[in-house]
Amino acid sequence: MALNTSLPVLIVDDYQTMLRIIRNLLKQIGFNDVDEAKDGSEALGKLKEKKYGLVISDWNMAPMTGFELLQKVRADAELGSLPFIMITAEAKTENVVAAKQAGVNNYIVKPFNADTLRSKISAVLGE
Amino acid sequence: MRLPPPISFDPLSLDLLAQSRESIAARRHAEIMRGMAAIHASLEPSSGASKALLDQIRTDLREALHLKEELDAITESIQRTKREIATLHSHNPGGQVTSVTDELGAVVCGTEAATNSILAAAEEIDEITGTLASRLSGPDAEMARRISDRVITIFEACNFQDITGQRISKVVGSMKFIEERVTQMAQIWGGLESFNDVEAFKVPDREGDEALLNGPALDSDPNRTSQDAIDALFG
Repeated sequence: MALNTSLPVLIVDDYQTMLRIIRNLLKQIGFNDVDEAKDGSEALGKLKEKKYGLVISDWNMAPMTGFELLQKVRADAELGSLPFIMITAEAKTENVVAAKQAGVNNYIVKPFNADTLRSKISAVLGE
Repeated sequence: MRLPPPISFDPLSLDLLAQSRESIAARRHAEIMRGMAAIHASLEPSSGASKALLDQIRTDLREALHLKEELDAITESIQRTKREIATLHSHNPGGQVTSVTDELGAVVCGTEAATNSILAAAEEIDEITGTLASRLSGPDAEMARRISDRVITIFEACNFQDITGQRISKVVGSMKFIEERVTQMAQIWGGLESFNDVEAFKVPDREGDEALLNGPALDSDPNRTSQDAIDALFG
């Protein structure tokens, strides 16, 4: 089944280079409606303004981390079911378990490649 | 003037006198010997209790000597530590760790700039390839697709920059932690100023060609020579 690449995607990372890399890889996959935020609080603001189909977020950011963003999204009545993928260098088991318990849909450890990103997005979007 | 008559000694009287002197000497000798015996007796433990006391004193003395050795070793260690800190401070008054963290920061900035240049070039190649592919067909279009695939590989490879930056940040954090601990130790001993009188270890000066091997200079390095200045020097 084809991936629905028309969905708007919000990518969140405090590192401009990583935003650029993810944006380009999403473009290669077919996603063209891609917005960026540099931390959790900015992302939360954008999520309130526009209806996104997927959030791809880093963990380690300030002032609001990706983990806090995930918790706030899951606690929000409107955003609660929004597909959420974590892409992070935090590879310890405790991180993965905490994210899973907080309701993340999938988890990618940096560095990653386009195939991994594609497969996780497919798994999360159920296609 | 008339001289007094010469004294005459009775031989019997002289003999008695000699015997009397010998008797006195013998008595004195006996008294001295008794005194010495008394002193010896007082020095020599004569009972179990005084021997135990002496043993205790000997044990205490050994422990005191051992304690002194330990204190000497501690003093030596403190002096060596102070000299190490003084050496660290004198070798780079601005802070050795600060210098290293600046270098590492420059590594992050340098690789980030290079990564962004690579990404910009790859994005442009990707865009051109996309335009080209739409105009091509057959094997030529396939070649354009292969170029596009390789561009994805470039994007993927640029992941390293983020990871490298985070790893270096961890190293910088650890080094700053060590620097803070060293500074705290220096504060305990009265601050870095109190180390001015401490003799630092001699750091061997670099000589010859080695003295010229300084590596890349930071932009903030006052000894850094700009290309413009070099060009001016060469006319």
